[in-house]
Amino acid sequence: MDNVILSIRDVKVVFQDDGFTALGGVSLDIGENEFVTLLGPSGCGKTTLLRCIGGFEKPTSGEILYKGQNIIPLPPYKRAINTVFQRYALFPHLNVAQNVAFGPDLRGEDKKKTAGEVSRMLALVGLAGFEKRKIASLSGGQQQRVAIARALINKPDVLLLDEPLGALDLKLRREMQLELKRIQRESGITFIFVTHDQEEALTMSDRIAVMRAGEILQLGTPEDIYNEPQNAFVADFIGDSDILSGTMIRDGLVRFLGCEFRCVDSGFGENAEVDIVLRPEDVKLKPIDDPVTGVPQGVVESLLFKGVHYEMKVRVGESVLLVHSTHARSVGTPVKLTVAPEDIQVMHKSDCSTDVLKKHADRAK
Amino acid sequence: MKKNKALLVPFVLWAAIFIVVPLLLIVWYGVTVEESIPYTEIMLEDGTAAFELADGTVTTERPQKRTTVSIANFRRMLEPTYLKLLLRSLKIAVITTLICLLLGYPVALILSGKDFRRPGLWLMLIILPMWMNFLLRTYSWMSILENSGILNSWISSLREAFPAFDEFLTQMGVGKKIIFLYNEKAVILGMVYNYLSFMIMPIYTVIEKIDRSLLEAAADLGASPRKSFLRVTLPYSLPGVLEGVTMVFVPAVTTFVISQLMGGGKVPLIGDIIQNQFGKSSDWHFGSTLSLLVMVVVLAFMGTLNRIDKEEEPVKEVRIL
Repeated sequence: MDNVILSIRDVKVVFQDDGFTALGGVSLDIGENEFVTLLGPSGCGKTTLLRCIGGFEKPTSGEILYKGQNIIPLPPYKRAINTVFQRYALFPHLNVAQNVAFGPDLRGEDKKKTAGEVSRMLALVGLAGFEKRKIASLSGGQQQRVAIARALINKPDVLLLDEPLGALDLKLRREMQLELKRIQRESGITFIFVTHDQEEALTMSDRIAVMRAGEILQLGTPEDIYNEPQNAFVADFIGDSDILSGTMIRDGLVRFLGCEFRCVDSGFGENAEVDIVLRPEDVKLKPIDDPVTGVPQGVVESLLFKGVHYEMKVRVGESVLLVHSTHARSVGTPVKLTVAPEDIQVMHKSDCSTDVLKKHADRAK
Repeated sequence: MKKNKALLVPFVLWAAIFIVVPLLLIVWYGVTVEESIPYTEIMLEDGTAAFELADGTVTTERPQKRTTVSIANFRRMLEPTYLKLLLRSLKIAVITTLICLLLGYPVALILSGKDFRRPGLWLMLIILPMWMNFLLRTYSWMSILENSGILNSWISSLREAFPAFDEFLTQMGVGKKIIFLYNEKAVILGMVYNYLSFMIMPIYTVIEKIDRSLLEAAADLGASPRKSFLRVTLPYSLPGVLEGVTMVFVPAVTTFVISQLMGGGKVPLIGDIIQNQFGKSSDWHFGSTLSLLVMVVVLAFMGTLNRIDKEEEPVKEVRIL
């Protein structure tokens, strides 16, 4: 990347109180006008990383370079970075306009000019005419938009967003996701977005960093992360998936569910233990009398209508696979399962394989 | 609902017996005077004593004093002597409150800081002296400040040990014994010492409750620690300040023990005079009138504070040059 605006280098955070390692040496380059999402379950260190960038948390070691300069010694108020806080942190004693004007007022900017800017910002977030309203009289979604306007008016180069949509209902959430994406594209600001909602991350991001236990497990575009998860944790966290234990017989040939499959992965060596991830929509069901041979056979155990597709659970021996299809098969129907070579994602075993495999095995009970 | 109302009965009774009735009594005493009926003692022909009243009636019973409604005490109250006392009380109370605020606010601020460890312990230490008897605490101060007290004896030892220090003090015109007690400053010291924690506690409680993320938001938007104090912490802590001011000012206006002990009777306050009326002078009527005066002053003060507290327009920023 040649237009890096923020470079996080081996940032470690160990909390003094209890010696807990919140971040265990994270490195990440973020480009100008990029929308990067830090995604992970609660306690994975994503908010801590965001707070380090904002200046609210001091890393135990490592560097955070902003346009090439290490900003760790700088207090938050000297960083050209603004934050939209999880609970918005709007000032209840000020009205909407005064909240938005907080930054410009601090810099002593011309009141008239600021008032114009405030109106422009409020229009941008869809709150035109709300200037005089009290914070307490706003809904969650409106407060969130005031928080965004309050941050954007400072024209930061980087905007940090800490689960800003967490408190909103699903419909408003979806609207705000599109809205945020639009604002980011139009303003040309780099967004660093923290969420535990994988769908939100896939919808909005240019790149996603999947985090677990203070480390980045995988960094890539939403497509990369979804289609080629590098380990069982990422596969499990992003979208529905079937995760199975398998053996890489040789390059391009993998064995799982008691059968051999052609695949496109290579470089694992011969007879290597691996994890296999299949996306439910990639598993195809065929009638049991289909001439295809050498494929696993199973029985449909459950059928759910999900709107655009049916969700079926298919038992194959000890395992149960999640299958999405537009074609329903009734419970008890014997089926053959096929998967295209390019839809088989082979992953190295990792320290979280056992947990994830156990979770998927529990589904079979 | 009915059950809840039943729970109120003891309180209402309590309030009626111990608050409303005494208050009415004070008002009654305040607007009445006891006057003696003028008479001349005469001897009747049979040798018994009799009393002739102003209107010429003669009675064998010595006429009793009578209670009449009168504004005489209110007129007396407005005499310069008493107004001066009231003004001095107000002055000392205001000074005490200001000192408590100046000392207490920073303490509350520091204790509520996010990096301050174990604020509970420190708060305990601040409150701990308050568990001791109020008189005992004040007497301790007296034994420290007395002419032959601890402080003076330390200073004399220092003077003996360091002749240069002695010379310096002598040149500054400081006598061998420094008189600390029995003046306004001593009274103010006693009040500040006794009331300081009443200032710290409410301010601490309010600052401690301020959402940390508001301070982070202020810093995020470019506010230096000083600016974020002026724009966030201070406006939010005002209710605590007002409460602390009330809790210090009101007892400071009315106290008499501190002024008697630390002031040695040389700095009488309105409280002392009121206490005198119920004690030595035994003029409950005038004492009540003065009590009413103090009550009106305190109510006016609290009313003003409440109005500040409830101001519709929120405080946007507290400006300090």
